[in-house]
Amino acid sequence: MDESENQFNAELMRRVARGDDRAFSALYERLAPALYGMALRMVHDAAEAEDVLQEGFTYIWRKAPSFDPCRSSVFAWAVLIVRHKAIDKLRIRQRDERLRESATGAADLETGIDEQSVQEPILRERRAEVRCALEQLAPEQRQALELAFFGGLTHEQIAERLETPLGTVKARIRRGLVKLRSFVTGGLHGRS
Amino acid sequence: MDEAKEELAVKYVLGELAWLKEQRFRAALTQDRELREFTCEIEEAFALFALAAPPAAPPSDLPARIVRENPKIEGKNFIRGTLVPWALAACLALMCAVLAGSRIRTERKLTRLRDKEVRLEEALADLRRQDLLSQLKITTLQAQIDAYARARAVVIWDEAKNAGLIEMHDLPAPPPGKNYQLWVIDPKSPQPISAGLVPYPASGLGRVNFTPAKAVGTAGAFAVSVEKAGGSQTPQGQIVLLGK
Repeated sequence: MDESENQFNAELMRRVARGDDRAFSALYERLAPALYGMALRMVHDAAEAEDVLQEGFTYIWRKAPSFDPCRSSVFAWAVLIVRHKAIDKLRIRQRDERLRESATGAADLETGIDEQSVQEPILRERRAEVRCALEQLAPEQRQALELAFFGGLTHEQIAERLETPLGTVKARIRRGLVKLRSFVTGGLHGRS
Repeated sequence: MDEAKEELAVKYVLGELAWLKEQRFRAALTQDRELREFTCEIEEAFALFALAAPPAAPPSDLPARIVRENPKIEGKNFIRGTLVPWALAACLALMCAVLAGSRIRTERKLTRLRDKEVRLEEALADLRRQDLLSQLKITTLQAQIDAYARARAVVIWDEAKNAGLIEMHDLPAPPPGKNYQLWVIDPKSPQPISAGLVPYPASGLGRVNFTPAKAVGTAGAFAVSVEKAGGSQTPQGQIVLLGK
């Protein structure tokens, strides 16, 4: 997503904050496929993923006035909202560790879903760039970050899951994020 | 920044801080610019993982459910972009069952294209009203020949910067050995001004920033033509898209 895309999303969000439902509709069309795909991967249940998306967009609609474009991009803001909703679902559901493992298995960037069939022209290019960036992470950094992101696991839980010292896990996550941060600040994903 | 601060920021982004610690951290963010920037950047980085999951189309009734949840959203607007195409498709399917033939199929395509065009114009009209874009000229380019009937392009032109951006949808591949070239038509210039080659967007959507070969006085129109490989000084090939 380039700067013009971020600016466009921020403009949409400004209008959503004023109660413009057409802007909200446009935002939904832009972000829903990515957010729904993310929710599906987190909760591994279509009905719950739908609930997550519904709750996420309801929150976005209601909290749009509090969105600060100086602090984050619309995309990151929406992602983190939906992720929190999904984590809430995971916690409420209290499924066992095995389910989380299946939801956060490593190396599943390819899941057999026909991505071309999903109407997502805006993010398709960006997705390819992000995959390249993620592939540049050390495998253990990516694994730890995926467990944190998709499984909602804490540092301690990841350490336990991977049977790795807590300090090592902390370092992997921090270094991985710092490495990805250079991708963010490299101009490809400017702040909206 | 020291590692302890970085680790605290990471925990904040991952949502691991207890409530009180989170409030303290938020307070620290308002005071510490370096910490604030670092936190924002790793938050953006963390959010990138969303794109590691394959995208998926949400069910078509989800917008309606969101509308029910939020009475302040005008349902007719919110579902316009999602349910209406389905309803339209259903109506069209019925029509096709009754009225077979190429004429009906052609009309259906035209209806969809007009619908898309109207929505695009509406969106552009909205954007024109925004302060952000008030200084920009936005032009929709239309197909000039049947083979490009599905193709659409929008040019956003910043006169002050003498530069612009073209976004193209569903442009067919150029003939072998040919390139697309963008032209700016300035009424005061004897010839269209080249704005460079436009790479063929194989994914269906392409977006290119451009700067014309020389200063443009007034950008009266924009055109895309099919030119020999490497481009031409002046338009030699067929104009396939044009917008004023």
